[in-house]
Amino acid sequence: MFDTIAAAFAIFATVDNALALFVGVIFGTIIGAIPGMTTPMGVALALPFTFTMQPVTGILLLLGVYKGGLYGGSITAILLNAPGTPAASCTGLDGYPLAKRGEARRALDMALYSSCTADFISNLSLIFCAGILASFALSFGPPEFFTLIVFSLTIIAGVSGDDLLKGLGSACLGLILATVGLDLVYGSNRFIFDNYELMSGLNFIPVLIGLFALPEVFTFYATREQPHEHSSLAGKHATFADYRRNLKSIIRGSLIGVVLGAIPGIGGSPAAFLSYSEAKRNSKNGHNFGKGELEGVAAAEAGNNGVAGATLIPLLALGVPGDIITAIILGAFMIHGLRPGPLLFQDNINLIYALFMGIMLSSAYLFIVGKMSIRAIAKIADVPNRILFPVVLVLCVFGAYAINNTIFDVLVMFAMGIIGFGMRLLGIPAAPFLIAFILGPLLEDNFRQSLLLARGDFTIFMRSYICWFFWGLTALTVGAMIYQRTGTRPLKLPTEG
Amino acid sequence: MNYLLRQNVIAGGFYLILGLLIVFVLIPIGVDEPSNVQYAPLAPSYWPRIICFALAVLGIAMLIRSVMQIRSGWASGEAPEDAPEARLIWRAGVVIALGFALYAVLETLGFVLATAIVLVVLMLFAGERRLQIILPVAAGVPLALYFFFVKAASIPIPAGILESVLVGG
Repeated sequence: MFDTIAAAFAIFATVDNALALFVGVIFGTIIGAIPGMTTPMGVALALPFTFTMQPVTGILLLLGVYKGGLYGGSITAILLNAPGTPAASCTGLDGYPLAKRGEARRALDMALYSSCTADFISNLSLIFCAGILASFALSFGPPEFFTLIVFSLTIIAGVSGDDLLKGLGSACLGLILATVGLDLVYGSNRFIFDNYELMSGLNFIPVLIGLFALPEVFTFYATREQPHEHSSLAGKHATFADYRRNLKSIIRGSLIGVVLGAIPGIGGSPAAFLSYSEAKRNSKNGHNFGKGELEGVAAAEAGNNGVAGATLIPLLALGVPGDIITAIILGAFMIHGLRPGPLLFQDNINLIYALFMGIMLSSAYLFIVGKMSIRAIAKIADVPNRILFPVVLVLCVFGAYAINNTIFDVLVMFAMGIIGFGMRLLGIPAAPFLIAFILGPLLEDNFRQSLLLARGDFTIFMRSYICWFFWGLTALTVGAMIYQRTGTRPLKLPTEG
Repeated sequence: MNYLLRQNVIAGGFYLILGLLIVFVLIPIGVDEPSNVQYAPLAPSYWPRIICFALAVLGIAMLIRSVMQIRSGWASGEAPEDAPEARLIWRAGVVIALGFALYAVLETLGFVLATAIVLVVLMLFAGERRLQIILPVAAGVPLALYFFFVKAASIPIPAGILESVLVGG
């Protein structure tokens, strides 16, 4: 055990790792702080810079962007009431009224302290739970993995948009795109059309950048630019007494974040709002929530950041991404020749421990970045979008090319950008598409391996209690989603006259 | 028909047509079926076929739902605030066209020069008029990215007609 930890420390304790994580946290905080830029987009843009890094270094950089992005969203939510991320909109409910009262600095400090505490608790949950779950998953065979992935796809497609049918359709599009290339069993061509560059399938990076970054650029040009407000940092810092007073809500919010984060597909927004409503229900200042209550900022940020470490539990232990960002990080693992899941714990435990060390350090970095550079980050977030988005497009071009040094990937990226923009125009969510694209080969592989084992007999997908468990969960989730949607009554159309 | 309903009808139709197109046209011409397939579910076309049938069924379900919504006079919302504006979509079209033009000249002009030109055009197109901002950004960003990938990451990036300047020799 100690030998393993020592070996992991040797992998982790390098200047490159420390620097990559720090740069990741800063970059993520900046991206999160800019309205219109999303954390998945930030992770997608950072990904090409990790190609030539060591696996741990590259993944830590991306984790830094993820964690920084979660916190960064709260900066503009508080200063401008323009949340950088959907989850941060809950922080703005009380953060912005506080800023308007001249207490922006206090609200930002509380958001930071709350974020760091929740992040730390979430990281501990990851460290304690991931190994246990992974050891359980070691007994999985192809049928069990197939049912697990079906469950993941169902829940992710369901919660990725307001419309279940559109989300499922989006996942189908991702699955079909994943079949392009040589067939896994017979090695025959599928949708290659004599283009040898398609033989190994479409690369994940151009698809990712095309779907998540380019539509933002196109949408910016197709919408009227909003007048640019300038942020101001005013007022006193939050005190330790403020922190202690809100600690109960922070801990509660963190635990809510951990539980919701560990379930694939839930994400930060529901955790932030649930934590906020629980704090409001239990607080003696509940009537003041929404009018500038510091406890509201603390609760929302705790819920939001509590998911960060927990979403990595299903990713590392089972190889199943909990949300779109962890799906991108799963892609990053694959680029570095690693496959998250129980076998990674068995074969590369040093690497897992090294990642855990880095993840713990990220909480400290978040605190340092928040305390030392908040003023500079707020200034960078002031850069107008008419400069920012052209730069994003150029970053996309370099990033798409760099993965394989082929200009074909740039073409794929632009094609996916058009598809992504078209999907946006039709209100089709892109997240299920990408997750299905990443999980598609794994799903098909396990499906066909199972049928090979069973000589074409489909009852193999019900061979064990684990299969039944995941089928049951899938049925429960689909049932709950259908009930939830049919229970919501739509608005009546106004009579046109 | 309101915004969301129109979106759903088009999306449903798209799913249905694409699903059928792949099943009946693209799979027969684009998937090579080996003659020695042991069990039908192991055939290379089996999996894409299942997915596309599912896609078509989803499309039909969306269309039926839309028809029911139109008949009952119910709809579930209007365009979100950040949705692209119909009369400004041509601007996105210009950016897309510029993207393909960039792709066409990337190797000839080289990444630095081509992206610098595109940066200038895109910033002007977005409404930025301050040359003291445009020129340093257009020169600095491509150069910084080029040197990062070439020097720090050892990834060769085509320099095009600037090769003698950027690479030397």
